[in-house]
Amino acid sequence: MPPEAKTAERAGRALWTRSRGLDLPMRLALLVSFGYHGGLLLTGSYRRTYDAYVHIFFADHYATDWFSFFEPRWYTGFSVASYPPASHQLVAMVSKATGLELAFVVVQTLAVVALVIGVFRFAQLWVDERAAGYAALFVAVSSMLAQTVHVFGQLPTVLALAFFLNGLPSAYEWIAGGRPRAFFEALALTAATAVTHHLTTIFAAVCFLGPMAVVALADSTRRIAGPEPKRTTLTARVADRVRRAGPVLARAGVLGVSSIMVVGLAILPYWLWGAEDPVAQVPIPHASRSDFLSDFPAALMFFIVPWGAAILTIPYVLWAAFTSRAWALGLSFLALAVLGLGDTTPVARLALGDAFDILTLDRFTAWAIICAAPLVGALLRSLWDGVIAADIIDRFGRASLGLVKSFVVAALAVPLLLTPNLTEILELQPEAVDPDPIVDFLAKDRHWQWRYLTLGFGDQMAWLAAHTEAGNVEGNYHSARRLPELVTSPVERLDGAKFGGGAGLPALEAILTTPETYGLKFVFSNDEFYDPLLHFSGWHAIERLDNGVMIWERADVPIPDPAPRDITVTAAEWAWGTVPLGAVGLGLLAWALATRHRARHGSREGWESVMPSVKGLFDAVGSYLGRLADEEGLEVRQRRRRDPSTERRGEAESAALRISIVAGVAALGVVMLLPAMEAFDRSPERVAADYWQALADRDLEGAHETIHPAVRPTLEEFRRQRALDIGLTSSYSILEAVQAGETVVRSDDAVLVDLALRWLTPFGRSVDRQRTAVERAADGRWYVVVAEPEDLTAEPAVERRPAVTYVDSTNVSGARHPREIASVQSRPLVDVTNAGVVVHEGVLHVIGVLSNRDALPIDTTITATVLAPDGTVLATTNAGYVAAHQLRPGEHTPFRITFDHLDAKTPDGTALADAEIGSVRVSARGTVSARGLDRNVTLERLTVSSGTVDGLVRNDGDRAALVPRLLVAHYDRAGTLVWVDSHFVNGGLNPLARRPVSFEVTPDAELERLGVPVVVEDNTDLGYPPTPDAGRLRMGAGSVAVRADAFEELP
Amino acid sequence: MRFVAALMALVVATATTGTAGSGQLELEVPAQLRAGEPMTVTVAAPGHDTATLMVVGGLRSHVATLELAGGNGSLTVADPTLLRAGAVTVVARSGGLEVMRHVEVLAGDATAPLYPAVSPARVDADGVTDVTVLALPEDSNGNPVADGTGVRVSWTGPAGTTESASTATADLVAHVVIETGRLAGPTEIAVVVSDVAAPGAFDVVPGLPVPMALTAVRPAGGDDVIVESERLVDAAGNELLDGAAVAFVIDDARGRQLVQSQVIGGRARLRVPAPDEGGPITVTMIVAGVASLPVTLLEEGP
Repeated sequence: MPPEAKTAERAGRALWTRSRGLDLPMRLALLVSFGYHGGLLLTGSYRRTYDAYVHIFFADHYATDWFSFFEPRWYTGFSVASYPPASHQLVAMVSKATGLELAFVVVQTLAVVALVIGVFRFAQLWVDERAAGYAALFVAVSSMLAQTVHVFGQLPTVLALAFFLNGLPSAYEWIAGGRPRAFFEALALTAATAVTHHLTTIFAAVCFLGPMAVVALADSTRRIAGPEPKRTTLTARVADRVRRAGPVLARAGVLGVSSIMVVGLAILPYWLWGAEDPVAQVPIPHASRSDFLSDFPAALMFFIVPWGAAILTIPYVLWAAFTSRAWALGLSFLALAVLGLGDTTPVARLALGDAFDILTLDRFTAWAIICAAPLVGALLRSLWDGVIAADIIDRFGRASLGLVKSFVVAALAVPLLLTPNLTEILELQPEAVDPDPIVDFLAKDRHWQWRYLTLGFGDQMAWLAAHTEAGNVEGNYHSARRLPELVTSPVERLDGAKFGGGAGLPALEAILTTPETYGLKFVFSNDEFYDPLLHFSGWHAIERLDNGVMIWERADVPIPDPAPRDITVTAAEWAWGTVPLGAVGLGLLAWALATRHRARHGSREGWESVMPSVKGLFDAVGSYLGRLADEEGLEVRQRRRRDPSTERRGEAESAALRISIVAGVAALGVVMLLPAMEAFDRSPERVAADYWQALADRDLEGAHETIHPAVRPTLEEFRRQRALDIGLTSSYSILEAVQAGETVVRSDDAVLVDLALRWLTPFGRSVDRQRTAVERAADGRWYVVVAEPEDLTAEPAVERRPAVTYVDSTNVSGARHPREIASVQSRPLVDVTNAGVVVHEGVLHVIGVLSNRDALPIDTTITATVLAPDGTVLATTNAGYVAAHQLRPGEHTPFRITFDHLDAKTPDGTALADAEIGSVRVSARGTVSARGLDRNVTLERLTVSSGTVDGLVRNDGDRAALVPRLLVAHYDRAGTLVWVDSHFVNGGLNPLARRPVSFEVTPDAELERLGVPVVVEDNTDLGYPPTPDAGRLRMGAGSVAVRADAFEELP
Repeated sequence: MRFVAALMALVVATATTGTAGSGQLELEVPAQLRAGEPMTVTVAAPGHDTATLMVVGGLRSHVATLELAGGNGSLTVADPTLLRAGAVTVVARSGGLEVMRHVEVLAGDATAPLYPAVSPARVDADGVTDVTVLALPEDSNGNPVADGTGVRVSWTGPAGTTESASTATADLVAHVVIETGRLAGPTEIAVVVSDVAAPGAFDVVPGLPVPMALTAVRPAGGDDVIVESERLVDAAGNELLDGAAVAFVIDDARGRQLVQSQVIGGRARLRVPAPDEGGPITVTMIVAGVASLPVTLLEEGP
């Protein structure tokens, strides 16, 4: 054996102390991992997590088609080589016996157990066995692990880290001692890590293996293998140290290079996929990158919760690390902890560069906590029965120690119990949606031939996808996105387009406007927020399923071509189907052999010690409880440790612990106090803002309490009043901010507060200005004074109102003659007139009037294509919500087609409004449809003054007009259409109700009409003047025509 | 390629006339067959107990082992292989010899369901637009019938007169063009192929309305005024169809009111509530872009 190997063996033995079995902390750690986390998983905690269903979906892919890269159900087809497959394949394999859900539970539970064992083994590199047991217990009960598993639903990262940590002793053994067996063990477990989660391999190598290698290197420079001549010069001493470190450095290098090769080869298809298919995606904002001092929800989710009680230990960990040989571990911990703070400090952005906007930084916090685990384990050990315990007893007595221990147990237990319920408490995910009714619908009448989209499902969309053959236009794994609308959208999914400030709404609108591009025919909506956008974009609510989900359908969408795929299995697919699980198998074998070897060579880390027998566990618990009762025994142990050096160490440790707790509490306080201070603000502006915020949150009791007692109605009456408050902002918008403007002081006890309510509506942002009266009551506090709204509701009456209805039997379930054939055979006659091209605010628009010249009602699609002078297509899109899509016989609608998303630029990147345009082609088509024909909203008292149209909008129907909309066509003196606009009335109309409306007509000066030729492609030229003078309002030299309709209450 | 084709032809020819053991392998099949009919295959292979039969169609194939008695045997194939018109290949193998025959599968007679395509389904009563009736007759197995199959199209127009035209399928389809007139109404079509008839229809619909007048009536005992159009007709006198969109524009002292309505019974009607303020009220109606003459309602004196 070479001298280095002998040295390493000695060093290695120092890492493991002999014992007869696992200590109680480790047994408890395993019990918590298996019993608590496994039990929670078994009860379905994963169902409300962010990622679990994604991994189950991938597992379903492998269970269905193991050797295929191609997955057709998301993004119109994508390659599963975009994600390392081992964890998914494990779930797929187990699912053959258990089904997918239980398979996920089994694999996730085993991953948690393996992670805790890994932490135990990793901690043993730094601290003694008992402290390592505490470290494992600390991680097992940490809110970080609970959050990772039960909130984030991360399987691959947990499993990968488990593999990596379990391989670290072998890696250390190889680097420090040079044993070839250890080298291959480490390599096998590295491969298992890589095939499970590639990023974990890369970062863990730096964060966990790095400090260990540094320590091995530092140790080696001090270690003298044999007789060496005495050096007198500094250069010679340094040369000696470098020479001593040479073998360690070489072995570290060999392991590093070999690991890189293994990682490269094991998931070669992944790297090839990344190299062959590089698509730049717009960075998706993630709360883990936020400034936690200004974003409390982000701080809660990515700082307070994962750190939990561990935050109290940070100063102690730093002290312990930098006063011992674990200083490299301390550096790693510090770096990870700071990176996990996101934008709270500039460090993460500087250190990660471009990767900052791609990575989710919560993983750094999780790794920091695991880095800290060995030292926290040492702290807990010391606190429980070590020098800190002795010091506390000496200073404050035994009762104090009990109190401290109770505090620690509570500090660990409370987050552990609360964290898995965060998804419920914070409503992080929508309520569970039963996928079966949707699956049945898709199976019926060949609906699966088209693609679908979900809205408001959250991560359950992946669970639905795993149940059906039908394809979703998007998916739940954004790295695989390739559709232009999606990769340019800074949201993870269109399913939650409204989140993140509505950043995904433009992409959603683009997809809903041109659904035929991807064969999108059905939208399953579980969030009413999107209803108005769907309605005004030409979608029909056709059925509410038993699970509460509303099905929206778009007429006239052709069946998409099947996604192209190669049915032959390539060599890469064979490798993808066999190598990853082979690597996992090798890793497990290596782990077993390493454990067996150490057990045989005197280490106490055998199978029998890692996997506690039930009897052993009960024995240990009984023994421990007995020792707790035997105070004399504890005294003896503590007295035994009371020598002067131990006493000094105990005092220092106690001081560090106290500082740690104070600093930790202070850190938590800073983060939590800022929002708390806001809650104590009771100024008139704050009270007024709170009133509107409470209304927006549907917190009627909260809003009721802010009303002045003198005018405050009963809560029942208030509820009744608010029930009538319907409309775009009341029912379909998010109140993003309430900004106080000018405050007019009327007296010492009465002010008027001008508020700007910034709403996010399905159509974008809007600002609603409210002047709110706030007065001081007898109790000295400020309250809002709300005037009752003017009652403009007409007298109810029963009247005869004959109407023509249409029965469309071509679309009934199981129709013999498929509708699409009948529709294409004879298109209804449509007519486009007055088409023109206008630039407004730098955006190109195509406007015109579409008429239904058929004898039946129709559903329309209007498309504009911008052509270059040489006839090449520069951009194409459809009319969205600035048009009426359902027209009765003889009815017409103005329309505006806006090129403001992907189509805003030509293929070479030139802004469309600035591009050289040869012509514009406007095509319109219709299909007979009996839907959306109610015309219950009318306009009255319309007047025009100084470019502003005022009037009343009235609901003549017996259903609520939830979102009234006005389509405004603006004509010039010659009767040429110059602009089309839409105005959503900020407030709905209950039956027979009226509401004032007022809007400004876009000034001519802001409009630039382009003189490019417009070629109209419709199927009739029986055009007629769509809006005769009699229907228009005179406005200056020109005129405006206004058309009212509404999104009505759904059945 | 020609060499390979010649070699294949030689092999086939050799196999067809080849011998098996002490005798020849012979395969007897019908030269033609109706789609869907069973096919009887007879094999003679003296000195052998079995023969393998393979029937290869365009979409699928059928393989069977035929037990031979005294070197002879027959098999009746009733199989989806024979449902599609075109050709099938029958191959017999026994004792290392192979014989091949081709069988032509013919489409059967046209049967229901027959879906004639009528386009456009609605035409303006302008007297110039034609309607095309297209038929693709198929047999019971979905095979288009043979070219030259006779197709007769009859139609009864809005005036009640019945006309007909005969044609024949060519390139799988048959079509007839129907000239429409200026009289609006439904036209019923019957397409007859062999013994099968299928209905079709199209509508001749009224064109643009001619300018119309409005009348205002106050029912006895009521405050509201009913404004009603005269009968709405196009230039040919066809009454506008029910359901056509109508917009009423009401101007009074308070501003303009827009009410959307529809044609019912050939007319449009609007109830104008008694105003809160005095002054004239003017009502105009717009149908298919054509505005009526306005009617003015004057406040009656006490």
